[in-house]
Amino acid sequence: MADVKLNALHKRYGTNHVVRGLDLHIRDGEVMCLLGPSGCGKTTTLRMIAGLERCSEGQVAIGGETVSGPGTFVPPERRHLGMVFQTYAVWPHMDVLGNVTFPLQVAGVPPAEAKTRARTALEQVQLTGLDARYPHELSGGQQQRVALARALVAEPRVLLLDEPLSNLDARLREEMRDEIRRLVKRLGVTVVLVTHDQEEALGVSDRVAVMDRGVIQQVDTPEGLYERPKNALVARFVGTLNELAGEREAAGVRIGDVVVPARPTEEAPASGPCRLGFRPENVKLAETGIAATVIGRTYLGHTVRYRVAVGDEPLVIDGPPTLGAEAAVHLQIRDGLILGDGTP
Amino acid sequence: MTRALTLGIATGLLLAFVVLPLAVLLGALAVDPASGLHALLHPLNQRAAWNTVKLAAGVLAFTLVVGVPLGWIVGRTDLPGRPQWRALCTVPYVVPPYVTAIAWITLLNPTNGWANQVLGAFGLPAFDIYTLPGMTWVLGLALTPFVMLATADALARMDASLEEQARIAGAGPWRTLRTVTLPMATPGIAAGASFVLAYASAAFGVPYLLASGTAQPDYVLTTRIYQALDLDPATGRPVAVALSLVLLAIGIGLPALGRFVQGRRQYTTVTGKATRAAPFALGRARPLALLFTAGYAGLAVGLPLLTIVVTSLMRNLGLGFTADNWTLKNYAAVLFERSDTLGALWHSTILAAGAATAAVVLGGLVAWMARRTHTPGRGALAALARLPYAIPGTVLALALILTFSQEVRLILANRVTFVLALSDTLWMLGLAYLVKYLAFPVGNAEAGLQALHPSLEESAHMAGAGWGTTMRRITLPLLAGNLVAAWFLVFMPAFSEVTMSILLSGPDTRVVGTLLFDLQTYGDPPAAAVLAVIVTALVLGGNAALRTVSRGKVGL
Repeated sequence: MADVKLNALHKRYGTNHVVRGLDLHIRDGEVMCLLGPSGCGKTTTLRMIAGLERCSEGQVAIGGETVSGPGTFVPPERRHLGMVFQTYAVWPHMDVLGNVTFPLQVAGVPPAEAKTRARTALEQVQLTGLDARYPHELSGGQQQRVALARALVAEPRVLLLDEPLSNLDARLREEMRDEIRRLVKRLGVTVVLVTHDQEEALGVSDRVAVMDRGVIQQVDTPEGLYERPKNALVARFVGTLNELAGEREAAGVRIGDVVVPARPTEEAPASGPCRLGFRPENVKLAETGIAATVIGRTYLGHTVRYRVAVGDEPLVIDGPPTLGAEAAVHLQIRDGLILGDGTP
Repeated sequence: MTRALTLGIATGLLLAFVVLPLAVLLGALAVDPASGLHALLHPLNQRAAWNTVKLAAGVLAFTLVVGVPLGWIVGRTDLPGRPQWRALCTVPYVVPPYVTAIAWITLLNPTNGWANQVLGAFGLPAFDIYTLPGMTWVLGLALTPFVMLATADALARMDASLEEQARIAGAGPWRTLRTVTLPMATPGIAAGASFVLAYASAAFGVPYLLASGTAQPDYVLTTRIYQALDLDPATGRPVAVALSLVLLAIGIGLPALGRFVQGRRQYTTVTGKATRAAPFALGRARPLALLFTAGYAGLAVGLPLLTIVVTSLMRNLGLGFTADNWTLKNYAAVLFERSDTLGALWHSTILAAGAATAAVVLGGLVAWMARRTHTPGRGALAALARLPYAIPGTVLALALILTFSQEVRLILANRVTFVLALSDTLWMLGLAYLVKYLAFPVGNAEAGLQALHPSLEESAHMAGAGWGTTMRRITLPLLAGNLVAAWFLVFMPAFSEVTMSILLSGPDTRVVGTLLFDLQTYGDPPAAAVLAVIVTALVLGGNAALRTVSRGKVGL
């Protein structure tokens, strides 16, 4: 087990600056997620930790040892890591046991012991009795379990997961998400996970680093990100966010003649025009408040989600199933966020 | 109506020119099994069969040992000038092997071969090219690109994460190459290898030329069949029929054996965003890789082509490299004066162009039928059209001789009579080329149609266009690239074809390939070299055209 330190990490492909000065400390035994839209540099960062890409500037240290840096490059095979690729990359010319014993064989573990340890790893991922199967005889979920067992079998210092759930169907994805979380916590292994799926990020991780255009926007626990986002970008990427234009007041944001209580984010202006951000669950329908009109309705079973308009700004709120189209409503908003005035 | 008629005619032609000859060939053995069996037991024929197996196995071993490392070097490493090396090493893919064979005869014949003289100067023994090892050497060099390209393509298609995973698991670059990269490429390599087996066992030109300079040649099945027919057509036929079936069995059996050994492993992986693999850093192995690649390119391309060009510029090979031995008169004679060479060039040009055009039309229709209609047996028809390419040319030619050497009369309702008299005519040769290379247009058109959604044609019908109009205005223009590429793919091998031509052409219907063989074996090597230069220039030029037409998808 080990921690991972990224220090002023840069990656350039020609003129394309993909990772721009990343600082991140992933603690020993922690599950850290790199979350962001595609092209934000998260996969490149993971591959630099793995040693599959060299960094253009900066350092990567694993367990206190610098593995990438000026004049230093430890190749991937000597970093003692485990990795599960998005495609699983289960070797099709080896059977299940062959795949899982491979890292041990390479490490020079005697065959008998390698077999025992591989079987233990397969048990851990609940894949027993399929030792002699070839990958094409396995389902996608089973292949992923093979990939996971193979990544864990040599007791890696860090486990790297690249979009590990994106090729699974919705039901299996939830099941695997819980299982991976339970397994890595029981083993106490340090995990770096890359995903663009916020549910996956929030469900598995201890902390999440939200990335955009090669820069980390915020590193925090799932709760912290959701409740105390540092800026509109993070708030929009984690959960659903409503936004209204208003004026900055001491206690919050003025929308028409209502002042909504709100906490400032890092980009909040001291005064003047700003934007109010809030989550759908923090809106209540009331007799008084901000006037709005219902413009659409989606029945979700446990609730009804309405689209309403305040002036010409559309919002999403939850409400009782009784509201009709074009109904006039009043909104009471709590726990708002004060965002920048929208000019980036 | 047009549609039914056109497709009906296409089906009829296919049945008459592919199915009928093969049925006749099989039937010929059934009619006279005794003389067939007798032929099989003859020691000379048994040796020929055994030589065919030895030649195929030797060529396979050579192409694997050379082609797999070469495919990896030009496909995946950081060798300087990698794409250029790849193109250079691919040249033997398009140049007919008999061209390099005549070069190696000049270089390694036991009496005065140039390379043998060099070996002798160093006190080394001469290498006799007129032997089975000689054939293995020439065919091995010629067929290596098939394995090289198969290896390079298999490596290019492979998802890089499979190798990266091995690195993460602790394997170094060389160990990853050995345990993951190469085993993963095995199915692709095996496909290339089975093609080499089929090609080497069916090869005629190289074994024929390398049997011509010695009193006791090593016969293989193809040359034995030719010899049997050449000596006495009447008594030779049953022998030829029996031997062709053995050849057919070897040509199909050896590759099938390979697939059986390959076993149940399938090599499909989950698709996702596949990362491009970084080139393998050769490091200190770079000079070795460069030497290996340059060595192959030199022996398979540079040295033979240089030899051909030099030979074509000599008055007399025996005079050697003296100042007054250089001349351009061979070119002048072949291109402007000699009636035999001019006739052969003309025949080959019109035959190859005619066969290519007919093959594109017929193959296109067969492919369209297979992909766009629900006609029963459409898939079998397309498979049938591809079949002759897998049949050794010698066997195919024999089947055509048996079927069409007499007049074939088709009498419909006692009134209309079709008389088909093909023997010793250019039609017979054109027909052979058409049948043999039909696989290219069928394959190309099928691939094109598969990529083309039927709704494109359906909307033409909805817009009121009939079948003919839709084919002309929609389908053909969309398939044009594939069909033009297919035309070149038929034209180039048909122009230089020799295996079938030597059995099917008469004194008035000589083509480039047969004339070249005559000139080479009966004393005018400089003229043969001129023809070889022309053939080489034509296939390389045609290939460049093909590349342009297909935007780099087909060709070198």
